[in-house]
Amino acid sequence: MRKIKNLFGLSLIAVMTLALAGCLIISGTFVIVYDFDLTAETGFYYYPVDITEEEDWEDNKDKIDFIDVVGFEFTIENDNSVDVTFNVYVDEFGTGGGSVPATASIIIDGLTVPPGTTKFTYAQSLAVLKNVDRLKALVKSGTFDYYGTATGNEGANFRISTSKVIVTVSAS
Amino acid sequence: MKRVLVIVGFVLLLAVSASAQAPKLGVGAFGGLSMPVLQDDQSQGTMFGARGRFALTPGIVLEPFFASAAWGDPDAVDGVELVSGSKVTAFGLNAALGISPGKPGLKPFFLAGVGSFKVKNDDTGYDESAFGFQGGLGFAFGLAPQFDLDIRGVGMIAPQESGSKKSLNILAGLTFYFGANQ
Repeated sequence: MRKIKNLFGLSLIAVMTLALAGCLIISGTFVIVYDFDLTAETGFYYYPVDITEEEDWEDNKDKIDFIDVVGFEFTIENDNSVDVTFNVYVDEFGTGGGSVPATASIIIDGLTVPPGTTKFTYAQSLAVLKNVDRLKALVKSGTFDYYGTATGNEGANFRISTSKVIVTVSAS
Repeated sequence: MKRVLVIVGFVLLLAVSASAQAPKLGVGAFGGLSMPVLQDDQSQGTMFGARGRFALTPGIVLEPFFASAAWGDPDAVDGVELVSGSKVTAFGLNAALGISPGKPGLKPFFLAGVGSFKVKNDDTGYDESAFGFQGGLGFAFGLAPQFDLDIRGVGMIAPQESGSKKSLNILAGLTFYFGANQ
């Protein structure tokens, strides 16, 4: 009987120790999806992204310490009869809007978009993203400028009808 | 897989030199559920592994272990389909209090352990490996002098570059003891 009591006591101590350790290392991983609209101006697209507007970001802004993954998702409507090449750049928030600044980093380079409607998925974006370290650093600040360019158009519409940035964040 | 073979081979080698009467050494396998905790980008998956068991004193055992978990695909977030769940590879050493090899009947125990925990996701490129720890409670059932069946709940904390990845693992395992009396 005494042995069982001792074991129970030790178990209780162990559980309390683990609970304390858990409290000391409370952290979680959450996913933020930020929708934005791109303003099209003859093959040039710009949007100042402000993820800090998102509720999850706002609730955890003081605890966010690591950006695990950043990806994008688009729906693209290409009314041209030929393929169009789409590029995406990011830069510090508030650096411009009229053209792609020299300081911007390209993150999607030469995405070929066939005529018709194309959904570019999150998983596809992860496979082609470049300059990921700079992208993560910009995302960690909560805000960044987003630029897109489309080349090869015949003059018909090339619209980004939906745009999302998907951020996986570790907070502690 | 290579690590599993090395660990199992090491335990078998030691077992050959073990006393024929005292069940101090054992090997076993386990499997069960692995449930990520506070991770939106993962869902419940499975965990399998192998372990050795060395009796230090009556009631206290050391368990070198290897475990591999595959977390499940997460649910879509705001209409966005995320990518597949991560894989976790761990090896280390647990100490368990309450398990007496060769003793029949019910044996409640608790355990604490340390090890190397690697979390990897090929789709996202996430790949972090670090020293972590785990702990939990369970029950071992002495089916025969040579066999223990155990069921345990283990909380795993795998520290990352920043923060940590955690899971609750519900595992069932079978251990065979070398040199146990028939």
